[in-house]
Amino acid sequence: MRILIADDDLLTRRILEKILAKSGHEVVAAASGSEAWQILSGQDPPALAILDWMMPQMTGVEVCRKVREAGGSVPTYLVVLTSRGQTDDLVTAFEAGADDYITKPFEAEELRARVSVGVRMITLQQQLADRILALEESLAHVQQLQGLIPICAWCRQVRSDGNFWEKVESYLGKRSGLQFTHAICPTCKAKQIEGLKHLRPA
Amino acid sequence: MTPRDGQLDDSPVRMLLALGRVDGDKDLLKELVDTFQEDLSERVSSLAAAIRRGDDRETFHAAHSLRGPLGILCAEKALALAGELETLGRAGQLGEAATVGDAFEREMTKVAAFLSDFDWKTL
Repeated sequence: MRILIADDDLLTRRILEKILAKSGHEVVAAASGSEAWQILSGQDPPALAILDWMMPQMTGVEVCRKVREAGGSVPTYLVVLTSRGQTDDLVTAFEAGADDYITKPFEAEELRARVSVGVRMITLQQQLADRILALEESLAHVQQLQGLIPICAWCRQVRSDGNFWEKVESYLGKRSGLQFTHAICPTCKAKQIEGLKHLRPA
Repeated sequence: MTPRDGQLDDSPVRMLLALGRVDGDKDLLKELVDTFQEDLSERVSSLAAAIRRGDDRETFHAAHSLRGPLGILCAEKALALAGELETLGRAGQLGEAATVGDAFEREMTKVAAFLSDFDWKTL
């Protein structure tokens, strides 16, 4: 997965870069909040971003706020990197739109674990977005069946919009994509056999 | 328990812990130490200058920027002192900062010496 790391501290960037690359991720690095925002607001932004809280020009929390304001079909998973571990600070980060946080200094194992949670969330969101798209596409192909349908009480033909009468299977087939196979129900079968018996010569 | 367990180690930088923090990657740790040493004295001097000027904003920023690397390298005493300076700078209370700043400078001298003399073969 492509991951943005944004930290003004070179050492932190190097560690993040190394650990994430070792886990098979493609890393994009930024040294300031405004550079991070440029990448995240550009075309094809990384799906996951790790943003340091304290950065020049724009803080990580401000970047979170801007990303959330901008929206997007699949939201970027945002992790704030902070040396502040107090509840008030964390609430501020979450309210700004962060999905998770990592306290500095961090352990490689913790970083990997939190990133894999993010990857799992992104995969789920992507699957959900794909399903919604597929459903929307299906709906576009299906004409809605609703309201009252006039049907002949004797022959069971249905009156269509153009005042034509057509067989119920043809009417439903055109409007819903339904396909019918033809069979005979036990009641009709019994009736038909009974009718055939009368045709036999005495 | 031995100093290598990292528990009785009173050195200014706990290299074994730092190695664990970088996933056991000795080359990476060496690279980080080299990068840290490049502008270390400059960064410590600008923090000391900010304290002397009574510039709380700059004290906060300079102390904060040193906390990251000090945390990575497990320089715990220096990290704690930088944290104190960051807090004082953020609160705009630099009254006590001179004493803490002096202690920080002394500790950073030890950190720098330790890193320069460190024998990587022992790690």
